Amino acid sequence: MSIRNTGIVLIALLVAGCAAVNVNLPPITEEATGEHHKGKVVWRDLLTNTPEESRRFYGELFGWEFEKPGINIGVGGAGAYTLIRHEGRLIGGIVDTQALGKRENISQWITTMSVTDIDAAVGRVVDAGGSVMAPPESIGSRGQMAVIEDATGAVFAMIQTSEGDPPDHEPDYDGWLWDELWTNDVDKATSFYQSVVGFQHTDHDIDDTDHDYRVLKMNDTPRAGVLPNPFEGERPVWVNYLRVEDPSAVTARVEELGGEILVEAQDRPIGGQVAFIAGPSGAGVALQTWPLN
Amino acid sequence: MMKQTVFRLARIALLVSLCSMLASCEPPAVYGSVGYSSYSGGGYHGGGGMGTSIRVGGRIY
Repeated sequence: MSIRNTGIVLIALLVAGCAAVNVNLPPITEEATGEHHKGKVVWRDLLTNTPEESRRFYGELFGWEFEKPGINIGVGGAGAYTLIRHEGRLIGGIVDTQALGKRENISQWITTMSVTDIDAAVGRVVDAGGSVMAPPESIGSRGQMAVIEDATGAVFAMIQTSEGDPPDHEPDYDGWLWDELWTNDVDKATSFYQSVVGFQHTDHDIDDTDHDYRVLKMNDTPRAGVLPNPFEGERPVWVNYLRVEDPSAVTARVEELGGEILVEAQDRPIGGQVAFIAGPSGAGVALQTWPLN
Repeated sequence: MMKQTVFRLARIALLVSLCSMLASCEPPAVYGSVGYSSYSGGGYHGGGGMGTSIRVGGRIY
């Protein structure tokens, strides 16, 4: 084959390869469960512009392990995505935003909520006051996923899993415990998630606070909280909580690992302790003891 | 001999080129739409040292 012909074949391969970039991520559960828990946060992805530093940060603090997806991931995606494993379970992913071609810092944890009919759920977003940032897209064995901005401006994702959602279980230490929306309009946000996902809600009076704590429920199962944004002037955001044994012990190591303490460990009026930290890319994550007492 | 060497070098160059171009294909497109306007980050840059005056939430049951 001449060089000229080789070049023509090469160009054809490149076009075909790039046109066929279908990221084929593994399912969020390694064994098919067939269970679907509408409204449950089933996955969290860290978008970061400092993937190496982020892996070191979370690996050192929480003992997380990282692995590249198998070779079935789409061309070009393999280098951009890392799976997070803790206590043998897959608990999330890391997306290298530089590989996404993002120059600006969009580092953040993206909360992914399970729905049973993603087309229907996404179809309700605009009427509920939100916007569709990325329409439902197949990500291979994982299912169909869409990225949404809610009616108050918080970004989250919805997924209709192919092989089922992870079953509910007692949260592991250094694993996910809870998810909470910090918003500037609790009622507007609640209405949005009720319309799009189908939540019910209850309000709980917490001593020593000037507002109720709102819990989004699905069939009486608490799935997430909604809180007036504690940081005045900041955009609404979904915040993910990790169960830790001693928040102070974690925060003591945050800065040496390139992170930042945003809220020091504090006692909660209802019991236990919380803290709020940011990793090397600036994406925040909360720490909480559990159970309350 | 010279011709074979040129062909071999050309093939290597093409393979290197192929690999680098494939690596530039856009990965997880589903996150490609998450732009700066959406960045709330949970990062709160510049807001460090907020101490305990701010009350965050957390699971209650």
